[in-house]
Amino acid sequence: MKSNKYTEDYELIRRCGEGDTSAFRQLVYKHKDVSLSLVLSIIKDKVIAEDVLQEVFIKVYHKLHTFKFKSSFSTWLYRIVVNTSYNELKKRKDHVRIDHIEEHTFSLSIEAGDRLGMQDQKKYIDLALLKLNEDEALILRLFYLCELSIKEIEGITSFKQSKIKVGLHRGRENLSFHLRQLLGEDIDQLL
Amino acid sequence: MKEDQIKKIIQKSTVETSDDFINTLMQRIEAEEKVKPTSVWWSFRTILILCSLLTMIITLGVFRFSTMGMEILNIGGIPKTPVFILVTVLLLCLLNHLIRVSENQNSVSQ
Repeated sequence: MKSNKYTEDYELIRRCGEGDTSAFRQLVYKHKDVSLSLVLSIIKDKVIAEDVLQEVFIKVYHKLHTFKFKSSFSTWLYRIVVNTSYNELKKRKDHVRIDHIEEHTFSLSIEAGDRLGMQDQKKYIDLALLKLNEDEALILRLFYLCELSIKEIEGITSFKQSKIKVGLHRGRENLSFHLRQLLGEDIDQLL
Repeated sequence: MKEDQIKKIIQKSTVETSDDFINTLMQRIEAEEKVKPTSVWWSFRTILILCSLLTMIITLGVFRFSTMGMEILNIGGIPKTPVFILVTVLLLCLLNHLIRVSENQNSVSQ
């Protein structure tokens, strides 16, 4: 028995097949933010990541008729997201360095004792995730944000299960380390 | 840091796309659909392969006839080197033309 979440996507895909572009808009709207987070785990630059995500959804639009309705749409989509992002990363030999992003995108500083607003919390978390290597950041987001199992992550990324487990372990440690470096004792405000 | 704390933190890490993301995407899809797909018979690669094959066959034929000394065609007396150079130059010109046409087509579709 497929969950309601699955059937909602399936219904939208069927409508897309009948030429209903508003259904495709709904499908994109539903999945765009999580997909962008995944692209950003690999590409590390928001502007380029949005371009890559546009390419992803164009591919999805053209390949939607090949979707088999056997797995969830999100798993199928994330596979395209991950493949396209890694291909783009290979193409960009001079991809933007993290220290460059840090310097230009995140110019945050907090005073001791300041309360972190929701937006600031998000920015510090994003910065800490940007400091992780792309595999670790991707594995962490697939596991905790998309709530996928290790087997599902293996299917999406083609990483071995041992690599995923190590990636999760190291990713957790490194994320914690970078957040502590950025926030010090104020890290408790994130929890 | 505990696992549930990491989960809580990462769940706050969803990045939102820009406001016009979907509109830009739909415009790009519409623009792509307007570009008429090139027929397979007139695609660049097909023409390139066909022309190369034809040129090779003609060149081979000319040399074969010239070495056989067929009286009907009376091409035995044609010097081989100028013919070879002529055919090669023609082939290169043709390839150059095809590549330029293909480049123009790509830049238009982009």
